[in-house]
This record gives sequence, structure tokens and C-alpha cells, in this order.
Amino acid sequence: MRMAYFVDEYPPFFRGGLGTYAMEITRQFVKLGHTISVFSRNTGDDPTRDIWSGVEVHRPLLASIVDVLPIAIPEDVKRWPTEAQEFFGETLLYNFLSASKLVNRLVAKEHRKFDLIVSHDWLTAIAGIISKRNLNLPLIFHFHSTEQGRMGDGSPTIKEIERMVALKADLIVTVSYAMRDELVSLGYPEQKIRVVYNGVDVKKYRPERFPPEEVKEFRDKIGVRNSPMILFLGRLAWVKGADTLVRAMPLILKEVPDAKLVILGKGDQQQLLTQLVSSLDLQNNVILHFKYVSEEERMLYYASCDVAVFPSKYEPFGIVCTEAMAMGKPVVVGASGTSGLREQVVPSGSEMCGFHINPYDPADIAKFVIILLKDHELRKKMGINARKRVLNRFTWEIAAKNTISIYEEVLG
Amino acid sequence: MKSIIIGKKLEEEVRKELEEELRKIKGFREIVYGYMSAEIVFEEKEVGKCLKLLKELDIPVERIVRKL
Repeated sequence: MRMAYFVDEYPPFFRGGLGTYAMEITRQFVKLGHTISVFSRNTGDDPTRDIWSGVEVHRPLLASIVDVLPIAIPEDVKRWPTEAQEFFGETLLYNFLSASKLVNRLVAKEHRKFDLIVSHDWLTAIAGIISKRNLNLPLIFHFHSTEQGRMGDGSPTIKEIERMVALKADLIVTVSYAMRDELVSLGYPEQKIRVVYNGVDVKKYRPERFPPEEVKEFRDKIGVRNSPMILFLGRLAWVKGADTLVRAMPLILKEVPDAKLVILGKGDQQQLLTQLVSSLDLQNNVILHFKYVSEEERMLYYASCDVAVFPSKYEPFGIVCTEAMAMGKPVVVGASGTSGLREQVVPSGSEMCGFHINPYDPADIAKFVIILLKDHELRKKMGINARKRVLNRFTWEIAAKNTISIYEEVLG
Repeated sequence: MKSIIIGKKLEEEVRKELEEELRKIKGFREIVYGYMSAEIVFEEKEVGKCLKLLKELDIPVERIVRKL
């Protein structure tokens, strides 16, 4: 299959989880014998045509459109912060240039053949729509999240872009049944929607990746030492719930006085978290690491923890949870509203690998973290089950095969 | 804002040299060290000079993160 693949983030340039998804899934597509031409955003001075792990990557050069923004962007976007307005303008330009390069250069001049157009989230929806119109090819649209879900209500313009691409797309792919339900509730046609879970590289993310002495050294280095370690890893934003987890700490410490919570990530809650830790007098029990680290180091954080907690209030899938499970860790996850975490984590029965909690309630988080921290055997059993579940359900190989079978549906 | 993530533990000597050179590049804000990685934070969109410097110093770049 020959795909024109529009995705805003592609390695080595990342903004969030979409870049990881695109990198892993396209690698698998190549392994399965498919050909992919990626069109991704040029972040400044990146090469305009490149090969990354066997994938052809186009990044059309952008130009500054700051001076024409007032006439180029919709009214509601004009109320965004200046930098975000510029980002929106750049996004439009990236979409137009990418679609134009595909249609006029690759297809018209170089006589390249494509079977399918794929685009991801609103950031590349316009390129997908334009390319479909000009090349008369099927369009698959991937919803990794919705504007409504991300922002509470969000921008009418972005919601309109999402509605338009959903209408034009031949099929819609999303990352969990929770997301499918959300899309249906927003009025998207159920018969067009397919679900494919994300995955994790189980050869990289494995419990025995680090020798015990290295884990011990790391725990000493970050100040956890022999204490029970709770890990939160992710973007520090309200929806991810790191603040609620910090609020749960006083309750956890009543039962497990030496517990340490390690928070790794960056985001707009950094100041709030610092203040919370100080006001709740948790300086000795909460370790804040506001930084990005390498993937290897991230795995060391997982390897070092006793329990990983992701109290998200909105999480279409939640790849950090899958990573923790692949590393053989029990997880405590937010399970209200749109929660792909609920589908990943089995909370009861012989395959249980974690607990579901109300992400708005610190007491509920504390209750299940305490159960795990007090029961070594339960943690061990859940960790083994978590790894098994990932191997059976959430690998990139499985994700790629399932995705391809959906793409084949539209090719008939 | 852009962050360049280095997936390697940097020795003290390399750190010093890198920091010295980074300070000469426009938009450089800070370098945050991890246990086996480092994050170089830039205010500028363009990080080409930094990437060139890292190549010269034979320091591998794992990924580049852009945040609004």
C-alpha cells in the first residue's frame, strides 16, 4: 500500500505523544512492506526531503505570515495568545504547502502513485481534505483527541475543521472505545468509526531492562532510596491530574509514612505543584523533576517505581500507562469521562493489573495507592499481569496490523 | 520554546565546553541535566546552530520538543 501520510510531528521533532505514535506505527508499516511518504511540519531549518528509518519525510519550508495574520485567521483564533495565533497561521501554511507538494510535485511532476491519504488530528485535516479532492483518493482520518475533550469547550474553528474532515473522510480511526463514544456523542457517524489501540515497543520497555544495582543507584541519586516510590510521569496540565495526586499524598503518608512521590514532566502546573508541595508541607515526600529526559532515563523512572499513578480526567488512550505496564508495574488510573486508561487496565479478576479511580477525588486515589504500597505480593502479581496484557493487546505490531486492515477496508 | 534532548550522560569536561559554547548562541536559555540525559532549552524557533554544535562535539540528539 502506498500512503500519503500527513502528521504534524515526526522524528526527531516532537511536541507530544503524536510524534511517538507516528514514528512507531510508520516503522511497522515499512516492516510490513508498505510505502509511506510523510508530510510533517518544518520547525525552522529542517531538511525539506529526508529519509528517516526507511520513511520518506517531506517538510515544506514555511515563511513568516505574521503580518497577514489579522486577515488570514478566524475571529475566535484572533483572541488566542499571539504565539498561538502564529502557530495556527503556520499550521494553515503547512497544510496548504504539504498538500500542494503532494499534488503538484510528487503526483503531477514525479508521477508517483498513491493508494490512500492519511491525516492525523485537526493539525493536518486541511491537507487531507485538499489532497482527497485533488487526487480523488480515499482519506482516512485519525482522531487522537478532540478539541472538545482537550479544551473543555474549545475553539469553534477547530471544532469546525474536525467536523469537516470527519464528513469528508472515508473512515475515521480512533484510539479507544471511550473515544469512539465521545465522537458519537459529538454527532460523528458511528458506522465510519474504527478503534485501534496504540502500542508500546515491548523489546525496549521490559521489566529486566535495568540491573537492580542500577535501579538502586538511580533511586539513591533522586532521593528515593529505600522508600516506596509512587511515580507520575506526563504533561503537567490540569487534565493529567498531578495536582490531585499531590493532594492525595497527606492521606497516603498517614498509612505509608515513608512513601515518596516522584513527578516527572513539564507544563503549566509547575508553579502550582511547587506551591502545593510547600503549603501541604510535603517537601520530604514529593520530588519534582520539571524536565524532559531521554527515553532511556524515562524507562529508568518506571523501573524504579513501586506503583505508577495516572489520574487523568481526560485521556483518549494514555501511552504512559502502557509503558509502565510494559515495564511490569501496577498502575492506578483515572477512569471517568473519556478514559482509554479504563480499557487498558483490568481492575479485578485473575488478570487484574491495576486500579480504576475517580481522578477528581484525592481520597479515592490515596485508598488504592495505599492498598498497593502495603501489599508487595499484589504489586508483583499485578505487574506480571500488566506486562502480559501489553504483550497480548498493546504492541506496535498489533496496532500496525489492525490499522492496515482498516485501511484495506476502504481500498475494497 | 524548543528543547533539545540529549540521550547520553555527559562528562564534566564535556558539560563545561558545551555550556560555554551554548552561551554564545542566540536564544539559549538553560541546560537541565538528568541522570543519563540533558535538556537544552531555547527561546528561539531556530536551533540549527545548536544542532551543528552538538554534531561537532559528537553529542547525539535524541529528539527536539517544541512547546507553545
